[in-house]
Amino acid sequence: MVPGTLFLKLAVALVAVTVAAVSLSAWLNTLRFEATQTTLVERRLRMALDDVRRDILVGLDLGLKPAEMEGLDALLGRALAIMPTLRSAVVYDCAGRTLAAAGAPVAGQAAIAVKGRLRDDAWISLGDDLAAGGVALTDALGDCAGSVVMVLDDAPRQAALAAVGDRLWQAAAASLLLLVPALAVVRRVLRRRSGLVSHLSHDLDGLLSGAAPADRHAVGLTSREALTGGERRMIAAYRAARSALRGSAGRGTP
Amino acid sequence: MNLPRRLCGGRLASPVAALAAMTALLLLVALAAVSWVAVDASRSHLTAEIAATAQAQAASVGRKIERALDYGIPAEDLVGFASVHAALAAEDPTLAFAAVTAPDGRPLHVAGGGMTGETVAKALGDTTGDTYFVTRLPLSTGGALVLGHDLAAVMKPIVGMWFDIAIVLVVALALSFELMLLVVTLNVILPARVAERVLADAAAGRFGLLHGQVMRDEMGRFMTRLNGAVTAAAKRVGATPVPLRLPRLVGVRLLAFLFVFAEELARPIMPLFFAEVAGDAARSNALSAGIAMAVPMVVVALAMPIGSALYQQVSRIGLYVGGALCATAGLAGTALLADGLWSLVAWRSLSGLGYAATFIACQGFVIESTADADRGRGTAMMVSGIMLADICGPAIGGIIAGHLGHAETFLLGAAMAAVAAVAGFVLLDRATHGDEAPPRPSLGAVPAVLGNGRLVGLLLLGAVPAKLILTGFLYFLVPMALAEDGVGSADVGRIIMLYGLAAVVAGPVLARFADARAHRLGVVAGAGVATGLGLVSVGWLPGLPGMMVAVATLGLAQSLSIATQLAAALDVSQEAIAVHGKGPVLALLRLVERLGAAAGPLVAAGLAATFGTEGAIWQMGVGAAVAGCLLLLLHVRVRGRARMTGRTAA
Repeated sequence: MVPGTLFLKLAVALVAVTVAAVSLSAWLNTLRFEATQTTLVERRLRMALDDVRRDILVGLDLGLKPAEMEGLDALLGRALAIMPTLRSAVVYDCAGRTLAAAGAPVAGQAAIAVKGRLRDDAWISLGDDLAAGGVALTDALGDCAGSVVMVLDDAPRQAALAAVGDRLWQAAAASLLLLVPALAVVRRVLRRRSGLVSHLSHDLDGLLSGAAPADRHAVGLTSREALTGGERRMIAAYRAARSALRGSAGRGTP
Repeated sequence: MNLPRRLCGGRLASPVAALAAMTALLLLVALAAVSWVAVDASRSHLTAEIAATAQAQAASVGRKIERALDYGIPAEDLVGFASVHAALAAEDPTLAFAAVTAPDGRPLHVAGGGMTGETVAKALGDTTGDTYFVTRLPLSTGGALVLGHDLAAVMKPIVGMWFDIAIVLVVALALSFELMLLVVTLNVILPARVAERVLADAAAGRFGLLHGQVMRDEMGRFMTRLNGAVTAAAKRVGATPVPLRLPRLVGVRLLAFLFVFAEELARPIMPLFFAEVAGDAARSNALSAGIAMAVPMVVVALAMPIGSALYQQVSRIGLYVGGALCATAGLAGTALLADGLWSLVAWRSLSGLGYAATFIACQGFVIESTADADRGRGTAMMVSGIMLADICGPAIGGIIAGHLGHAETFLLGAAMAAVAAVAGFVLLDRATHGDEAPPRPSLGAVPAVLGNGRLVGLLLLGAVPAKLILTGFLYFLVPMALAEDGVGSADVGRIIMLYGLAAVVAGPVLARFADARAHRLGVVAGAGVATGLGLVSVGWLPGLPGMMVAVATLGLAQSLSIATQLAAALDVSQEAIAVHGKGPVLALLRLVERLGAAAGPLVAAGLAATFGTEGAIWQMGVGAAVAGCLLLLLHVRVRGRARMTGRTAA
């Protein structure tokens, strides 16, 4: 293994820690944004469903069945007009047959997923395969009278999420540029320390060969370049040990 | 000139302090930049979402009003406006008021709890939007339909997100700092400390030590040369130098953090997930969740003394890594394979076994690596890792659970436990530094402990209630109660985090306060009463504020009482300690405490099944206050007796 330097170790650690920290922050904030956005979209969808259900309940309370109500298509059309992000609105009967619809037809995977939820009292699903919600209709006796389902055009929500996610990751990447001046400062500090270590090594070599004097004050070391208090104490201990080490047989590297 | 010193005005004592400040600044600015983008994005996108909902609501009501106006009904003669508002408000509690105004802005109809024409007029003139989120829809009459939503209520999801952004910043900063500190300690501080000892030994002419922790860098190359010089000098004087390695105690903080963090990630959703998996028709979901939480805690309580007994037979690395792997399997099994109460209990018990093993390994490492004089510092390092996990785990776990789901959060915990296993290999020293083992209870100490009335009183009225409330209230009732109120997991995590935060922030100050007090039993009793008052405040301050007060009070009270309890227990157990030693007595105390902790979820589940979650919290609060008062009475009685006999009471 190639012998490293302290700068390399600290630089790798600093880069790794910074990348991990900003990545964690970007990821968690993306998750949190999505959760909050989902809460607000659900709130809006629930409001639209409750609005239509309330209007249909007027007829149910009068004893009408949804199949007998006139103007359901227009009612659903008005709901779509009020909320442009709705793609379609459908009233189903208890057997899952369409009674009234407005907007784009619900087809494919979405239709299968919707049919599977028709028995639920109230549901909202904002997933990859379905962005929709539904609410059950009950008559005055509490029996099933059908259900209302609204399907969202999820593209704006996904676009907003993607835009925010992109911004967050771009901010994370841009913030990594701060590593450049930070590493420059680290390098500057450690270069001076490196000089100190070099001086220590040369002094030890000289001591062992007898070329350097043993006097503790002759070493010419300054502990200002030491990184920590512990290194300063180490240098002081080295000064105290010089005379004992001087003249040992053999040189440094085992 | 030294650049960092110049940058900081020369105030910093050493380059490493300057480097630390610069690292902190770098991370703070980087994280703040990401956080700022998150805040800005939420403000623009999510506020638009709120406005769109309010507009849609206004359009829906406006359609009904326009239909009436189309029939020729004048705006001021419209009837049923209040019931339209009531129907809307029943489905949207954030709707504060609704009004129809004339073209001159004068309110014609007003509906909304306590809203008069005057307050509506004021709200309409509130251009800064400090109180209400006002939506205006022009009507064909020239007037307008106005909906006023409570600003604090509609903005609640966004404000919650801002809090979480701040928490993510703080957590990321804390974790980053810990990692950098670890790198600097292992590469700079520890090698310098070893070198200092080697050189001091050489200066004394002994040449008995070699540097045993040489790093692969420029200082390491110097130390390798130094070893050569010492070896040669040792030959001259006839000494046999041995490599000196100092224990890498700083690693225990990260190790303790990792295994606790793995468990704490799922803390905000634990009882809910357990209720989902384990509930059935024969047994309430809450009771099933209580059992699923309690049994593993019993396993932890019983496994700890067994682990202590095995510590010296099994290597500490084996114990830690084996424990972390058990926790990995347990958490993964909980997420993927548990499909009923008893399979859930089995997987959770495996996690508990892993928790106990890793805890004992870390505790043993601290004990072996420190002497009595610095054991407090070593223990504090381990405890600080645990406290950091108590803060970070629920906060992050709550956010993740809200997005990924409950089972996935447990899976992430399993991944963290696997990381802990790897970290154990890297950070735990293989060398044994001492031969003192972790304390374990001895059967011989049991009669001495049970026969000591003061100690039993302290255990039953102080230690056990404290642990019971920690697990029963904080771990069980808080997530359940908040979920019933429709609070999301991110908010739950934030509230549970308050416990650790209160303890960390106020703990040292409160510990000094407690140390200065001679009457430790009184301090423990006072903390118990404070805990009780905090819990019953849930009844007075409904919703999130009450829960926050209760959790924060619990954190403060327990940071005051936990260390004091230990000191008080030792004070009143002098006779037992003299015979059996401190270790076995302490280990027995811990066992009783942990069994109390295991009872917490069961007690809480039972109370919740009878009184509801809020009622259960109230009952636990009353129980804590009563226990505290009884302990206070015991303390007064003991003091009285001590005065009569001239002895000092705890």
